[in-house]
Amino acid sequence: MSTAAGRGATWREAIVHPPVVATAILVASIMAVVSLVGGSDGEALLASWLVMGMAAGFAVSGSV
Amino acid sequence: MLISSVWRGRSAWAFGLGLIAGGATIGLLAAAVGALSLQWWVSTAVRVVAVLLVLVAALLHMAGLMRLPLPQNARQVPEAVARTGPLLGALQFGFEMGTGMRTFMTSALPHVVLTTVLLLGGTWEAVAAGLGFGLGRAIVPIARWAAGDEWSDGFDRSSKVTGLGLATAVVVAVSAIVATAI
Repeated sequence: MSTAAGRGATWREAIVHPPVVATAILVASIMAVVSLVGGSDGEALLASWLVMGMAAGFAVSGSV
Repeated sequence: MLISSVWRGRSAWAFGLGLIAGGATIGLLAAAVGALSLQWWVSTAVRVVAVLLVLVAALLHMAGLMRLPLPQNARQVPEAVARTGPLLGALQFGFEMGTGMRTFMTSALPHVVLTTVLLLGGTWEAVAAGLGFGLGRAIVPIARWAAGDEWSDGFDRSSKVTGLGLATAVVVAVSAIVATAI
């Protein structure tokens, strides 16, 4: 298996696991808070809104 | 059947675009309604408490400790949407799904987001939350494009772990939003 094909397979294996996606969203929300605490007000706050919406959207997407 | 055909080819992109546009639209509408009806006369402290109460109620509901009748449009998007064509139909279907107002709600988290936008959101915050909602819903068509039906099986098998992670993400995000609003 070539490296590119291997990377593709790994990516596909990861994305078929919804907990991996949920964990990525959780990590993003924590990173936004860390940025907020670090003084990056505007962007970090908007990121929190974005991640909040993304978590809710993903939570109901399994019903499609 | 459109519902299965939106996962394929150009329809999938139209569906994803519709999801994101629908989310941004409902976010803007919610912010406008909130600004006009609530935000100008209800104090920040009361609005923050209301958001936190809805968050706690949603978490209790999701944990099975409290049963709440979730406000939702509990029906499928009508098949008539499919007759508008593979691209327009997918776009319309995605838009209606993206608004979250056209079909079943299987989680209480969207209600937390809507409440937060209504009570604390400005224009850009509402657009960000709405875009995020559409993007979150679009992860599934992307995943199905990449992995086929394995995705649905994975979602069903891990719904509790996934729900816990997503609920925690919403708690973290709402905490940050509330902390900056006070």
